[in-house]
This record gives sequence, C-alpha cells and structure tokens, in this order.
Amino acid sequence: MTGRAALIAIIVVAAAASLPLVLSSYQVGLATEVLIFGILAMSIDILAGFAGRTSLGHGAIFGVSTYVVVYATAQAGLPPAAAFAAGVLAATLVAMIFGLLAVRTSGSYFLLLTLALGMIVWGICLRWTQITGGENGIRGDVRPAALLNNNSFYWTVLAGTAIVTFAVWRFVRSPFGLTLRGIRDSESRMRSLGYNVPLHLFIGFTASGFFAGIAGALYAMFNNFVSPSTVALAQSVEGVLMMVAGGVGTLFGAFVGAAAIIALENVVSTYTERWQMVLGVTFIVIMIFAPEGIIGKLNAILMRKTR
Amino acid sequence: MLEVRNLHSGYGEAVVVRGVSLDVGAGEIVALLGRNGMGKTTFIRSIMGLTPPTIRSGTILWRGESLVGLRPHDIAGRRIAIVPQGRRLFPSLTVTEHLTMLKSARAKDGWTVDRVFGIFPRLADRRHHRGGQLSGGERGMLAVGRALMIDPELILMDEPSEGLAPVTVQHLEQIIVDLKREGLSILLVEQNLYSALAVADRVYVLETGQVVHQGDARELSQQPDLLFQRLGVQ
Repeated sequence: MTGRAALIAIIVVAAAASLPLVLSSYQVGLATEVLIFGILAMSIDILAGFAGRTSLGHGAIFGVSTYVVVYATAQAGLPPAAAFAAGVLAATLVAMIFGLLAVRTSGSYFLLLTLALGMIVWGICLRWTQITGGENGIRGDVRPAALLNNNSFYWTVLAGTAIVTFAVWRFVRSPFGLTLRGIRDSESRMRSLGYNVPLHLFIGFTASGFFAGIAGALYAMFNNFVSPSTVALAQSVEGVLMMVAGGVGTLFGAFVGAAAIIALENVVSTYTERWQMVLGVTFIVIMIFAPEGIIGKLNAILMRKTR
Repeated sequence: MLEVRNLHSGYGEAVVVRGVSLDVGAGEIVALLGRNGMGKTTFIRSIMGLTPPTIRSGTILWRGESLVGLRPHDIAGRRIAIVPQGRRLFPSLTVTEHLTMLKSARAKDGWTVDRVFGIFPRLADRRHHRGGQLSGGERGMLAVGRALMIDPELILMDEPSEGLAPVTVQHLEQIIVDLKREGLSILLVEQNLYSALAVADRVYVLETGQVVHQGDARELSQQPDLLFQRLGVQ
C-alpha cells in the first residue's frame, strides 16, 4: 500500500470512528447499518466490478449467515463467537453451491440463475418453519453483553469493516484478482492463455460469499432478529443498487452507496410514505448523469482536474 | 519434445487440418508457413487444447505424454505457452498487471517482470499503460512477455509479426533468436515468409491442411522456385 493510500485510509477510519461523538444513538445505529450493508455491497462488487458478473443471490447468502447466527445463539445456545463463525461458514458453503452452478454462465443468465438460487433459499426459509420460524422469523439476543451499547457495537463493526475492506482490497489487487479482471475483459482470451476460467470464477464467487457472510453475521448481531425478508430478493437488489450507486468496480463506493441509500430511506421516509418512489427517481438520475456511480463520477472529475 | 502425428482437426463437418505430422525439438525454432486459410491457426489451437476446433484423430505427444483431450489450463501447466493471433491483450489491465497475473511481482524464479522489462525496455516505459492504449508493436511485445511469465519450455506463436512495422518485426526476430539461445522451443506460425526464414531452423509448409514441404530453413530460402511454387512469392 502506498503511503498516500494508507494515510487516506487512516483519515477515513478515524473520521468514521469519531462519528458517535457527534451523532445521536439512533444515527449511530444507522451508521452501523451503513457499514454492514457496505460490506454486502462490496462483496457483490468483487464479482460485478472485477469479474463482470452481477449476482442477484447475495442477499440470500448474506441472510443465510444471519439465520444461522440467530439460530445458533437463540436456539442452539452457542457462544457469540462460535455462532458468528458458523454463520460465515454456512454462507460460504451456500456461495460454493451457488458458484458451482453459476460460474459457467455470464450476462443475464448469471443474473437469472443467481436470482433463482436466491429465491430457493428464500422459499426454504419461509417454509421450513420448525427451524426458521417461517414468516415470524426468529428472535434472539445475539449481541454479546459487552457490545450492547450502540457506540461500542459501532466501533466493533467499524474495526471489522476496516479489516474486511483491507482484505477485499488486497484480494482484488492480488495476481488472482487480476485474473478475475482478465475474465471480465475477455473470458475466451483467458481460456486461450491457459487459465481455468470456471475455477477462478468459483474461487471468486466463494470469496465473495465469505465476505457477504461476514456482513450477514454482523447484521444478526445488529438486528437480533431474522425473517424471510432478510434473504428475500429485495435484499439482493438493495445490495446491487448500493454497489451501483457507489460505483461498480470501486470497492469503497459500496460504502458511499450504502450511506446514500440508507440515509435517503430514513430521511425521506420521515417526510413522505412514498419514499420508495423518491428512491427510484434518485436511481434514474444517478443512472443518467453518473452511470459510473458516485465514486466513479468523482474519480472522473478528479482525473479531468489533474490533467 | 513435441511430436504431432497424423493430426486431423476441424470445425463441425469441415476438416481443416488433414493429417499433419510435425516435430519440435528442444531449443529448436520451427516455422509453420502457409497462406491464409490453410489450417495454421487451427493446428496451433488444437495443440493448445482450445475448442473449437475439435481433434478428429491423430496424436499429440509432449515429452512422451499425450495432450489430446487435455484442457488448455492443463496444457499451460505443462509449460506450453501461446502468443495468440492478434495478441489478444486485456484492455483494462496495465502492462505490469498483464505480467503479474498469477505470478507475483515479487517472484524470483524463472521469468520475472523485471526480466521481461529487460528484454522489452519499451514495455518498462509503458508499465502503467493499459492494454488498450498500446501501439501494435508494444502489444506484440507484451503478448510475448505474458507468455514468458509461465516459464514455458515451448511457445506457440501465432503470427506475431502480423501488422507490425518492419523495424519492430526485426526486433521481435531478435527476441525469438535470443529465446532459443535460452533453450526455449518455439513453434512459429507465420504468413510472413522472410521473417520466418530469418529465425527458423526448420520449416513446414501447409497447404489446404496438409504438409506439402518440410525441411531446413536455409535450404528453402535458397530455392526460389520452390518458394514460388508453394507460397506464391518470388
């Protein structure tokens, strides 16, 4: 990491860490949510931005982790750390299954296949009532006692987010990450150079699912509750929208997109019940005037300035 | 090292390569010549396990082991690299990124980024440029450099001189000869006869999917009538 990038990262994390000093407890909760959904959006960006494959199944992978963590603490009585690990593991396994089925497809087929797989997970969560509680979901005191305070939980999530973001950043810049970008540029080229394209995509999908699982496990601790809406298509779509709003292929844009959407949802919904309409219009505006996303647009403006 | 025997390969109903036998020895440069549409690229793709085409019959032995039916990444794993026709770079990756895919920039063994930059200083100047921003000559160099990064023993080159300025072609010829000195085997597919004859040890001439001439490169270059007859050049 160059000195400048490290400096920027430290400043951003320090600024984020000082937020609880100025925000109300409710707003700290929203900031926590931004971080968690930012990780989800970033995990989708690994595939969409670097391998050129947009997944509509990541909400389900995320939600499986949430389900497992809530179930493991509330019903099975596992300690929080073990429940957390079980959730991430379950999400990674689900991602491996999704990956096995989806890596040979691309474009809209990939989109539809991941969507269908996500719907299956949603259907299972809805119908397998003995375990998942069906539509009622499961409630449990997932968050460990030390983190019950909103601020300390926020700081913990922030620390986790910083580590995960660094890991993802390293992952996409590694030689392996470069092969994903090669696949995005041209799958047939990669194949003709002797790369095992499906294997690389499978590993990429699994890694992406692992990170989505971390987000899901944090969400379990944040919400202390899980229901089928956590694994529903809307969750996947929201993750994709956050990533797109922030900027596909920018990684950090995921957090900007998550902040923009969560802020918009909460601010606008205090004024009108039709907040979803406002959200839709905002999206159309972003797509027309900044299809490269907020961070992408800022990058482009900065590049123009420096030239 | 590479022994191809009676290879038939083609697309669907059409058999394009019809019974080609060819050898490449250790540290040898073999040129496969022929006009457009004679089956040269089909032949090279068949060796690399790329589909299409599909291999109908015949054997491809690499160090005594059959390559038929193996997938391209298995073949690359046996240290056979390809410089595909048209270079086929990645438009959004930088020069350095092309080279560091799967082999860390810090790797010390075999071919390293610095070593590639050593033989292609021009690429070092352009290391932060993206594939889409390079000139034809630079693309050619990068395609060769990328192939070297898997530490190959055999490089299949599909018309590396295509569309390049004569001075760049000469540079590339020099590189090919230098690589041979390092002990690499090279199978060079060319339409550019003079470029191929300048570097090759042995030559095969392909016509409608069959070998119509094979022999020493020096001999062929001294037989103008044969050149005219086989390749239509004077």
